[in-house]
Amino acid sequence: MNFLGYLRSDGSVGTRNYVALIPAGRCANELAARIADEVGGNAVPLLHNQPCIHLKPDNEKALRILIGLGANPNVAAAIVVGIGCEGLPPADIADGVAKSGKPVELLTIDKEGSYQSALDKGVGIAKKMLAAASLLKRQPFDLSHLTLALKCGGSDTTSAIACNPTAGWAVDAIVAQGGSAIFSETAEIIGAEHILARRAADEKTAQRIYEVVARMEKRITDSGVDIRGSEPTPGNIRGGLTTLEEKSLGAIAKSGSTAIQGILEWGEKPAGRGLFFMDGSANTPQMFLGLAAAGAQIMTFGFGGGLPARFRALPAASFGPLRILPMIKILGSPRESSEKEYFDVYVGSIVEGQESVSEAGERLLKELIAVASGKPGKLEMFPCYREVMEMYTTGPVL
Amino acid sequence: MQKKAIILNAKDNVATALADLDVGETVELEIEKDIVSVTLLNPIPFGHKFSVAPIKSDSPVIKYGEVIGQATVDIQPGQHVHVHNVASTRGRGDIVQEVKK
Repeated sequence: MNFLGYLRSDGSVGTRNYVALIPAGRCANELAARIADEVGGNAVPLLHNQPCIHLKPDNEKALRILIGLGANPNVAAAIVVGIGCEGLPPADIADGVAKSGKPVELLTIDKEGSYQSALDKGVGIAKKMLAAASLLKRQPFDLSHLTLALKCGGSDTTSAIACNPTAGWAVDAIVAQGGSAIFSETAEIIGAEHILARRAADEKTAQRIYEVVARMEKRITDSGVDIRGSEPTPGNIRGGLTTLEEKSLGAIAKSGSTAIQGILEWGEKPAGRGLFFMDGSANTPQMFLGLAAAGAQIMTFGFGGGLPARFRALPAASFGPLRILPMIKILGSPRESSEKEYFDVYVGSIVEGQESVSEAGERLLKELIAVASGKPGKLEMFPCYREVMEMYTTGPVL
Repeated sequence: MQKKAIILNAKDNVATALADLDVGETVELEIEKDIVSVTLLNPIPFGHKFSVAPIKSDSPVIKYGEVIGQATVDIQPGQHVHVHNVASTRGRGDIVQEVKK
């Protein structure tokens, strides 16, 4: 089974061909967005909220994220944009991205002397990069070149019956062909960690699963409140999910059934192939950053019947800052079938008893390969607002 | 064919409604090769759960063959099983803090 992608100089393969404008900090978002707007087309600003006033461990994570975004195979070339006084030195980001071998330029207002001169120069560079990227042609690659990111949301009790097992079927198929997949959201494996630990490829990975869950659960219990109402969310509860354990046990179905090869830090690139778990946030704008920085080139997002199924562009999944991570939206609840046309794949048919998980999985895999090969996903066809991505912090926000 | 409700694992003591079900309605459920009949004591909305066996207070509620929480009262077969009669045992900062005091 093959998809058509863009070969990068480090051997990775893009499903998209963007010129990324990477702000070194949130202060540079405006300039990055302005350059992208003036250039248009495949120039995308990767807007985020990184301030100067985070502590070192959170800054190190943010640096890993920004370098990872630039190195993502869906990025043909990158411009790191800064004011010049950012907490994360713009040159460090540019140097990190350059290691992937792709064209990278560094642009700061400080060095250019004025906002206008930085803007003019940035527009010029981006146009040249776009012209060069436009000459690249898609070529066939087998699925061992693909890393799929996984997310579920608007979860209800159909998620465990329809969306998540379907995504899991596709993961098993991709991993069987030598490909990779990453799932995350540490809070949403609480209550299901023993099942994942049994699937760990080695003892160390099994132990890490228990460790990251214990660390997350301690943060929750230290707050002194019952997690219910936050997890499961009010929307999840309305959809029939009673406890976090029930939600987690359904959520892990999207990871399929293969062995878990390792536990990644937020935004860390997997060292090998196969299925990986990323220790990180369940908050979409933070989670997507982690998955894109880890090098995922495509994502599935399975929706239950929670209210988000009615959001044509749910928060953070907009055709905005994370255009570099194309998404396949799966709808699993027959109760929301009025919204079907805004989803790439409808699998409520499983709940209705009209289709098996493997039949739905085959349809999903086919669509996934088509979108990986350049067919626009539904979110790419219904462009919407630009939401700024968020850094995942575990330290104090000053 | 669309089923009225589904049991996901033979060990489960709850089933999930796949349609809006009325009080007094009798639902037939497949558990492996057996068929179990449950008469509903409450209306069960689509996607919500009802018990298929008696669940004693403080004992585990089982779905997918796994523990999803603990009953806070005795639950009869056919009753709606949700946040009003099941507590989570995880992420309970309220309980941890109470123990510390």
